Parts: sequence; C-alpha cells; structure tokens
Amino acid sequence: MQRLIAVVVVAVLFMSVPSAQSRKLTERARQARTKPGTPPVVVGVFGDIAPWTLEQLTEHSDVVIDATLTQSESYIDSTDEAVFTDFTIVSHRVLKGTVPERGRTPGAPVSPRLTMYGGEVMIDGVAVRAVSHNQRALRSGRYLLFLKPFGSEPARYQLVNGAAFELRGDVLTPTVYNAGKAYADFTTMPYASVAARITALAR
Amino acid sequence: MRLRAAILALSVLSGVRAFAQDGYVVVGPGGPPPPPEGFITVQSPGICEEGTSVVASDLSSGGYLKVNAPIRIDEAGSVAGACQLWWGGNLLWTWNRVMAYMSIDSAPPTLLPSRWTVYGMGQGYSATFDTRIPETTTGPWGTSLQEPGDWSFAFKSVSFPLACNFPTDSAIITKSLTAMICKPEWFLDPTNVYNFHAQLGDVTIALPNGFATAHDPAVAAAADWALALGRTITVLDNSTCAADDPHCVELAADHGTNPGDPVGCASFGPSDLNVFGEWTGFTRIRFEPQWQGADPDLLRRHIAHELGHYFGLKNREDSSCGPNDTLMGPVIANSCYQSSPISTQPLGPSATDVASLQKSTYGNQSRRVCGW
Repeated sequence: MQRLIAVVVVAVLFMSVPSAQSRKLTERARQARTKPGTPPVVVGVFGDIAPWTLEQLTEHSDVVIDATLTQSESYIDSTDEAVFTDFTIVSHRVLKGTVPERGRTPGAPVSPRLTMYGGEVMIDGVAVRAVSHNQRALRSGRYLLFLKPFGSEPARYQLVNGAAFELRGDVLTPTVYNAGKAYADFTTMPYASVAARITALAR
Repeated sequence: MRLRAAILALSVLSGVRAFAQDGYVVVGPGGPPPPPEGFITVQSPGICEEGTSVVASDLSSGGYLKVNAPIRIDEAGSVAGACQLWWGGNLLWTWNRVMAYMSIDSAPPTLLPSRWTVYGMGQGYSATFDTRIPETTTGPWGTSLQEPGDWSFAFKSVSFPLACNFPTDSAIITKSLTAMICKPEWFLDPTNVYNFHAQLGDVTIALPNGFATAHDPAVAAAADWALALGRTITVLDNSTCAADDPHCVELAADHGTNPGDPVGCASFGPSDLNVFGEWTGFTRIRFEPQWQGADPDLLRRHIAHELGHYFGLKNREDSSCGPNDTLMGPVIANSCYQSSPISTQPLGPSATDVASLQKSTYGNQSRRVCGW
C-alpha cells in the first residue's frame, strides 16, 4: 500500500511539472507551434549605453564610416538564443581606420557588413523575433557608424556603444532611444563639423 | 417649527388665515453644497510629459511635479436652491442659496499645512464660484511645492445657511501629487504604451559558477530592493534560472565576449513581454568580465542599478537628476568599468526611484511628469 502511495505521489509530481521552456529559439519555436494561435517567439535585450563624448566614441572605435547600409538577412545566431541581422556596408567616406573593399582587399571576399542584434525569422511557420529595447531597428539607408570587429571574421563589424546615426543632409539622428546625455555633445552639430572633428581625432 | 407656530398665532390674532406652507420653505436641493472641483496646473513650463509625448499642463489626476515648479490651483463650486418665506399663503421673500467661500488646504509631507480661501468679487452674492473665470473671485492659488514627497490638497465649498438652516459645508474632495527634485523616468517601449517591468512576487537572483565575487554585492543589492518594494529577494549561488521563470534574474560576467552582444556597458535580457509589459521569462544581467574583480560597493551599486531596469526604471538622464539623487544615473566613467567606488553615489534605490515604481509601475500606471 505504501508503495502504491509512493508511486501515485511520484506520478502526480511528475505530471504537475510544467513543460520547461527552452532557452533555445528553435526549440521555443517548435514548442510555440504546438499551442493554438502560434504566437511569435520574442526575445529582447537592453544595453546600458555609456554617455561618451565624440572623442571617447572615436577612441573606442576601430572604424568610423559614413556609409549606406543595405539590409541583407536575419538569422538565428550560433548560440540559438538571439536573432541577428546583417547589413551590407557601402562606404562613402572612411573617417577613421580602414575598411576592406570587395575585390580590392585580399582575404575579403565579401562586402563589409554590419551585424546587429535583432530581427525576425520564420522557423516552421512560427515568427521568431529579437528586439533591442533601447535602439531602433536599422533600415537600409545612410548612416554614420562607429564600428569594431565582430569576432575575428574579416570585414564583419558591430556597433560601438550603439553608435549608429541616421544621416540626412547635414543632420545626425541617434538610433538609440532617448539618447539623453549620450552623444549630446555632437548630435546637434552639422555633420560636416562632426566629420572634421573625427578626422582630426583619428590622426 | 417654533417660527411656524408663531406665524400661526400671529395670523389668528390678526385675523389673517394661516396656510399650511407658511414659514420658511426649502425650494430645490436642501442638502449640503455639492463637492467642488479642483484643478491643478503647472505654469512653467506649462506642459507635462508622458513618456516622450507632450501633454496638457493638468495635474488634477495626480502625477509628479518638480519641486518649486510654479503651479496654479483652481477651484470651482456652486450651490443650488432657495429658501422662501411664506405668510398667509403669500410668498413674502425668496433667498437664493449663495456661496460663502471655498477653501483649498494643502498637506505637505512634513511641513505645516496651509490654506487658501476663495471669496466672491463684484456686486452681490453668487451661487457659483470659479477661480478660472477672471475677476469673479479672489482668484486661484499660485504656489509651488517646496518639499519632496507626497502632497495632498483638500477642496471644499461653503455656502450660507440662510433662514432655512441649510447645511453649509460640502463634502471634501482631495487630490494628491508627488513632488520630486529628480525627474522620474521609466523603462518604456518606443510607443510609450508599456512600462517594461517585473511581475509582482518574490524574486530569485541566480549566481552561476564563475561569478562568486558577486555574491555579497548581490545580497546587499537584493536587500535594498526587497526593503524598498516590500518583496522577498533571494540570492542563490551556483544556480541558473529556468527559461520561463519571470521571477528569476541571472547574473553573468560575460558581456561583450560574444560577437554581436548587445550594445553598451552591460546588458539586460532576453525575456519576452506580456501585454502588460511584464517580463514573461528569465532575465540575464551581464557585466563585462572585468567586473569580477570590482570593488564590492561598486558592484553592489551596479547590480542594484540593473535590477532597477528589471523592476521598471530607465536610466535617469535629465539634468534635474544628479548622480547622488538616484541609483539610475547613467554610467559616468570614461570606460564602462570603474576602478574605484564613487563614495557619494547611493548604493541602493533612492526615495524617488522607489516612489516612481510604487506609485506608477506597481500602482496606477500614470506617468505624467510636470515642471521639468
């Protein structure tokens, strides 16, 4: 009898354990598929931006570039916990550092690209989305970018401290929400003046 | 009653026939005046904000006001009805009910209370007082709140009793707002709809292997927030969070080591949100690896700061907010990592940090800020 009770208790305990949610996005997409309505799987991050001056931002960046970004693809990263989106970088003017150019630089078979956290992919019919809670998703367009290498891959970059600024005419607009004191020393300046300062700092 | 009997006796003696309605008769509402309305508006700047939206200057439904910002408090009250004197079946006189005065009482957090009284102006008495209409009353109360904390305002109308002995005092209506030095800022989504925040309930902070130096700072930070929010926050060593546990926060010291890590000095994620803006899965707070050897107080402050994001606060970057006024000041060092503690900065949540959460995020969800 005692054995029977023990078996029943174990069975009840086993049955009451909820199906644990996986950290892996592909697994979560599969789990979501089994639920009615197949809601999207969404993850998000918030990065604490440092309120750097233009000097500090330039110093921390390997490359500062005025470029046009073209969105290429979104994909789940190797950890299976984030969605990244790649953008092709077409340089207008390099203000600091050097960027390998396709066809000109040996060992750089692909165009320079920027990899950003965020984006959306479909897995087995389920949308999997990653969002940055403090940075607007970049679109194809012209930007002033402060970059550092993305791992050890050649010609692949990521942003330094969220520093991507939409460039329209002579106006720079931060892509970080409520940038506040971050970048406040130069986002009100005309782009030509900012570019001149970066060039001078990079010497 | 005595008066009615006297009139009856007088009528009999004088040969005038007494009627049943002779005496003082209430016409219309005979109760106390209806409660007045109170209006609180900020004068400079004459606008308020909700998230990134600019809204009207009205603080009548509560909100946050900058200490010493000029405000105007208006009151509008009225009374209806009349008292009539009848004699011998004839109406001898009608007294319309009129306002005597209105009052506004302010109750500061610790300072002495004070009162503003409104009287009518112009010829004759009036059944309506409204300080928003120029030159009809002695006017609104122009004031400012000199003390941080919760202020309460009580509004009352008082009318004359007249011969009918009307009740004179209206019911009191109260309004409250919170005065702050430092502008509250919440962790909002870009559309200002959600205030990202933790669900109610007890919280676990999981310390995985390899970040043992964070134990004592995490315990201290947990204690500060537990006291501030009235929750239980437990630190578990050598532990990780279940992916779907929204009450679990995992600390790590690997921020920036993986390509494509989120931007900034530390990161916070990767949970999903529900329709209320609450995290639905575990949260991971990641510091750069060099934080493993950080000064304990410095680490305590930064763990507490990141927990502030978890509970619903954004970095406070307004110029009104000095680094000593809030835990949620942004990173102020040249690099993300600070090598020595900044002694004047609070190690845990300040009063304004806690008020913003308790009153809004875990209260009425109102995030109107005025005067900054």
